[in-house]
This record gives sequence, C-alpha cells and structure tokens, in this order.
Amino acid sequence: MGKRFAGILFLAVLFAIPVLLIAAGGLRGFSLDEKTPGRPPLEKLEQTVAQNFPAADFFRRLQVSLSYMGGNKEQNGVFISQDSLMLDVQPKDEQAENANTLMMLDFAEDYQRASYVMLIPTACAVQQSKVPYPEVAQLYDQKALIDDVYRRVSGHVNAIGVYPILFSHQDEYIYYRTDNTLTGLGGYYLYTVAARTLGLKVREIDQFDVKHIDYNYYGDLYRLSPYREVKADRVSEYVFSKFQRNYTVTHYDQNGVRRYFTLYPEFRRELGGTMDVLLGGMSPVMDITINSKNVQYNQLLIFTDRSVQSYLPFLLIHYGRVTVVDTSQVTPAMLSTIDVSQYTQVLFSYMVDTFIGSDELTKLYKLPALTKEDG
Amino acid sequence: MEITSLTFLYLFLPLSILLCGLIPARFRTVFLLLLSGFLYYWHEGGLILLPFSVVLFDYLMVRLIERSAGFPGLRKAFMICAVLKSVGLIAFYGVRFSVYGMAAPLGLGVFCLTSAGYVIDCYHGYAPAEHNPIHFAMMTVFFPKLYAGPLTYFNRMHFQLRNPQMTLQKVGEGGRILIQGLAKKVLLGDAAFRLFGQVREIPLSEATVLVAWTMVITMAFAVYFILSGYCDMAKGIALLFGIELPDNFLYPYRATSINDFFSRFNVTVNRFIRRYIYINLGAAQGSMASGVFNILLVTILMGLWFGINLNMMMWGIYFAAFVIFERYFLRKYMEAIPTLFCWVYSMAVILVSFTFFMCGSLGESFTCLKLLFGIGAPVAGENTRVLYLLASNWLVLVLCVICSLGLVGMVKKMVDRVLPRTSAVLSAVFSAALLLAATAFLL
Repeated sequence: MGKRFAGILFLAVLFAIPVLLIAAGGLRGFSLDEKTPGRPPLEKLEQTVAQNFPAADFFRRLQVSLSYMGGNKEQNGVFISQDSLMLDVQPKDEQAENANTLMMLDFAEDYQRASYVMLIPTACAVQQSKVPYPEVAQLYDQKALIDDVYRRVSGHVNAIGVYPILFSHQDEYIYYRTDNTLTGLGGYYLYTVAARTLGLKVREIDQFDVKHIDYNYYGDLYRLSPYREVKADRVSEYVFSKFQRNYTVTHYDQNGVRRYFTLYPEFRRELGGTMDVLLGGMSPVMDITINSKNVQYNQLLIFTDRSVQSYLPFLLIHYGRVTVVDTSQVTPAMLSTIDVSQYTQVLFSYMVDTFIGSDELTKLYKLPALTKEDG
Repeated sequence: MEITSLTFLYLFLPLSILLCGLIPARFRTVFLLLLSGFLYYWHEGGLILLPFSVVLFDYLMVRLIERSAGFPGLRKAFMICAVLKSVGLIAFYGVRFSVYGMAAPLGLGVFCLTSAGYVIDCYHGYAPAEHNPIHFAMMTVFFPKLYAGPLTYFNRMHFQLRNPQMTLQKVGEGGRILIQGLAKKVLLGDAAFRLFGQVREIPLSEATVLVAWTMVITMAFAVYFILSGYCDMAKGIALLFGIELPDNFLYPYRATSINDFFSRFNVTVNRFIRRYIYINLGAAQGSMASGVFNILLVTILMGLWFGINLNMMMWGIYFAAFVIFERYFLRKYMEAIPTLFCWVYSMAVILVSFTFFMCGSLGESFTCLKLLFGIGAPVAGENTRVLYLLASNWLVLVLCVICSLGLVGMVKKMVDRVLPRTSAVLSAVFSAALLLAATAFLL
C-alpha cells in the first residue's frame, strides 16, 4: 500500500512540473530550428527550462539557504554574513593595478593639473568582523594595495586616504547590505576626507536634508546570492539645505543626451530602478553645472565608477562644474570631447575591486592632448 | 542528455512514462529501445551508429555460434572475434582519451562488455542465443545504465524484456530509488567533487598533510557518490519502466578488508571480470604463483575500467598487493582482529589508493602519497585555505560520512520494523524533501 501511494505521489509530482512549465509558456522561447553558434539545442533547452521553471526564484533561494546551512557562507563570490552580503574581492587581472597606476602618473605628467586619487575599500575590507570564518578566510589585503598605490603616485598625485574613517564608522550603515557600493552615509564620510584634501570647507551632515526614496532595495549582490535572511536596503538622497543650489545634470551616452534639473529625478525609479534616481543613474559622461548665489569657480573632473553616486551630492556644493567620466562605459569618441584644460582639479576615484579588476583607466590615453596654449 | 538534467527529469521522463504506460506491454521493449536510441542520438549525435553496430555484430556472432554447433573451432573463432572487437574498441577510445583527452562515447564500456559477456555465455552454453534482435539490443543499450552501469547478464534480463510490467508499486519504489540516486549525485557527489577541485588548486609544493588527506577523502566521497548516484538513478529509472537492475555499490566504505571492498565497490564490473577472466584462468586454485598472477590481472582490469592509463593500472597493482597479502598471509588472523581495527585498516588502504585516482601522473601520485605521511611537506605549511574550505563544507562532509556508512538505511530499517505505516509516510516525505533540494541545486 505504501509503495502504491508513493508511486501515485511520485507520478503526480513528475507530471505536475511539466504541465505547469508548459502552461506558463515556459518553452515558448525555445526553438529546435534556432541555432546558437557553437552550442547544441540541448543546452539551450536546458537553459530555457531552468529560466522558466515553476517557482524558480524559490528554488534559487532554497539552494542558497541550504548551502548556507551547510556552512557555505561564500557563494558566487559573495560573502553571506549575518545580515548583509559582501563581495569577495580577489584580483582577476594581475596587470590591472600596475596599468591603472601608471596611467594616473602619466596623466599627472601630461596634463599638469592638480590630481587626486581616492581608492575606496569594499565592505569586506572594512567590516572584517562580518566576514564568515574571519580567522581562516583568505581576504585580499586591500589596505596594502591602497598604501602601495599611494606610495607609487606620491609626489605626482595627491592621495585621499579614506580607510581610517570608514574603519572607525564600520558599525554604521555605510555600505549597502545587498549592493557593492557605499550608502549615502558612507559617501558623506568619504566626502569629509576628500573635501579636506581638495582644500574645501567640510559641511556638517545636518546641513543636508535626508529623504528616503526606497526602503525595499535589493542590489547586485542579492542577484548573485539571494539569501532570504538579508534585509532589504534603504536608499536615501541628501540635499544641501543651508544654501540654494540649482543643478543641471546632463548625461551623454550611446542613446544621446538627457538632461535633469535635479540631482534626484525620482521618475527614473520607474524606468531603470532605484539607483537611477541618484544623479539620474550612471552614464559614460555626466556633466553637472551648479548655479548658486555663492559663485563657485572651481571645476572638477572625476574619473570613477558607480561609487560616485554616494559622495558626489556632498562634493557638488563646492564646485561650479563637475564632469564625471565612468571609465567602464566611456568610449574613445566620448573621451575626445573632454577638454582637461577646463578643469582646476582632477580626481581618480574607484572602489578597490574596480581598480584591480580591469585596466579601464588605460582608456584615458585617448583623451585629447593639451595644446601649447592650454599648457 | 544527462539523466541529472532538468530537461530529462521533468520533460523527457514524464513523457516517456506516459507513452510507455499507454502502449500495450508487448510493444514496450520496442518503445524503450527507440527511446534509448533517441537519447543516445541527442547525447552523441552520429556516434549512435557505434552501439548499434556493436549490437548488430555481436548478434550475428551469437547466431553464427548457434549455427556452428558441430564446429568447436569455428565457434571459438566467432567468440574471440566478438571479444576482441569489444576489447579493441575500449582500448582504442581509452588510449585516445589518455593521449588526446578526447572523451569516449557514452556507455562504451557498458555496452561493449555486456554484449561481449553474452557472446561468451552463449559460447559456453550458459545462455541460449537470443533470436529477437530487439531484446538483444535492449539488454545491451538500455539507456539508464549507459552512464555508469550496472553491467547486466542475459539470464537476469531476458524474461523482463519480453514483457516489462509497469505497476504502481514499481513506480513508487523506482521513484524512491531515482530520487535517492539523484540526491547522492547532486547534493553529495557534486559537492564533494567541487570541494576536491578547490583543495586541488593548492599547489602540491605548498600542500600540507591536512591538504593531502582532505584531497583523498573528498575524492573518495566524490567517486562513490557520483558513481553510485548514477547507478541508483539507473536502477530507479529502469524500475519505473518495469525492469529490475542489480545494485552496483553496497556501502564499500563499510568494508572490513580489501577483498570485502571489492565485493561492494563497482560490484557488477568486479563480478564480470571474475566470471569471464578470473575463473577461466583458474581463479586462486593451483599454485600460489598462478593465484597471484590472476589476482593481479583482475585488480589491474578493475583499475583500467576507470581509465586506460598508468595511474589506474597502479591503482589496481596497489590493491592487488593487499588482496594477495590478505588471502595468503592475513586470512587466518583476520577473525581474531576486532572488526573496528579491520575497518580502520581497510579505510586507510582505500583512502590512500585515491592518490592514484586523483592525480594526473605517477610522479604526482607518489608526491601526494609522501605528503599523506608528512614526507616532503613544507615546514611552514599553510592550512588556512583548506580549513576555510572544510568549515564551508562541514555539513556535506558529515552527510557523506553518514550516508557512505549506510546509517540512514539502518535507521530506516529500524523504523520500518517498529512503525511500518509511519515509515512509509516518512519515507515519502523524505523523498519529496530530497527531490526539492536536488532540484534547487540543479537550477
């Protein structure tokens, strides 16, 4: 009797899955005639089934949870700590660090502009107590890398050391729980250090109004390791309230030009997601002009990654114009439109994983050279 | 198409069961043969001609043997042709893999040896000549057993193949065994193999004693759970269609001697080699020298089953030494030695043997062997990485130990005796949980 019952149950489960799969149109995207170069149709069918499997998200979260219960607290390159996810940063390209450092030195020599570098450690380097099995985890020494780069560029590029301030505030909400970047609060701490080095007067945080735009944000790390116990993130905007500032944010990308008159176009949340509200999202080139009663003549050029979204709203209040170049997206054609001579200061600002992950700074060799008049 | 893929489990298998259940029983063998051919074609493409050529050739040899009843020399020639053909194919693809790294066709060893074994049985008169080519082909190329066995004999299969009976009891039992095999392979075998791969990344020049033992233990678990998982899945799938296949792994890590180990590990291959080679050569009868030679040959062949290379040959020679030692020197003392000590001795010998299994060359194997006993290990060796990996996989390792010793089965038997009805329900719930977990890891 028991085996018959088990047989009925087994058949019920076995037939239910394909019925649900086909009823939900799960195989619609698959065609035997479709040729994927170098891949047999079988692999494509397997991929189609996996993507459209009933309750696929549930099964993926189950896999992560079961692996976590089994002791595997690093999955898909992401550390799963008690309440947050952290990217496990390991060097992928041995030459990247050297190439990027040399590029900064060449830039400083060629363009003769006041140049600054800010390498930002990731969460696993600052909040090491949260790293699983910290006594035996093989963490990449990001502090040593930062110190080494700063030592090499010393005398040519001014270093902005942010590790101490982040370390001293490590128990605060300075890194997102589900994304590999800093929160607005973390960005403020970066700003306090950067501003001093850039020769600016640091504003207190109470001079900025905080508005929370999303309490339920799940970032890229959650997509890699959807561990259900990790709470959603809160994304906030910081608006300088002490004095009036009018911003014009112009984005240049492959689709053309788009312009906003606020740092936080909230309608972007419906189009691209929560992070696209911050500065209107990341584009290859983003030009921000700031109009205020207190005239600002300083102009800042930043070569950076998406970490700029955390600290730039604070830095902007000190400048008349800031141009942000995302070196992961920018093309040689776009670089050719940038006239370095127009800027009083140049900042290289990257998260450590970006800096050691690829030699994207070497794209800057495509920047137009200074003419004799500019020099 | 892998039998552990989502496509097979949740599209192909239900459709096959449905169609097979609907057609009359007398046509099921034809249907299952077509199914096997279709799967083989989808997996190997044009190489489908290979297994069916082997089947056709051996079928002809069997018929010729039957018709040459009065000509013993001719009968022997036909038998030798079939055996040489099978051995030649295995050797050719094995050497091609060793030299060029090109994988052998799916199930090559299984269908070649199954077919050759049947020809030998017909020659000796142990089995009648099968006149139905469909039944002969089904016995040889039935798809579930092509991945890792088991090897089957004609006498065990032919009654089942004439009229496979699909019943709910068989479906229930088959489903349970299929899920068990899937869980073994996906949850334990693959995890152990992944852990082995991560530990193996540590260069041998920096490896410590802990690293070396972790490698052999994880490899031992990976080999057992992957192979036995495939065999359980083969058994379960076959049972769904009303066909019973034998067990191929009987908790080999419970062995209390090396002879015992070979009666539990890859059992059907072991029995095949003993039946067709060891016994025909005189087994352990006769002089000690001929007994030693026969044991050496059999264990080497057992090793070469896993790959035709020096390492696997060495694996066989290594075990031969212990089999010979036990048979001729230790046997009279073994009953006096406590079982626990026998088990510890067996496990030590078995685990050390995996240095040949996991390394790419003999040199590497001997380096690893020395590392196991601390010879040549770096003075200031770093264990941090391997400790991190062990901490990250502690549950998998604990479950591997529990399942490889058959403790789950023991608990089930106890519950079956005491609470039979509850046991049936618990078994169904446990199987459902395993299927959920295995599916999660397949996505």
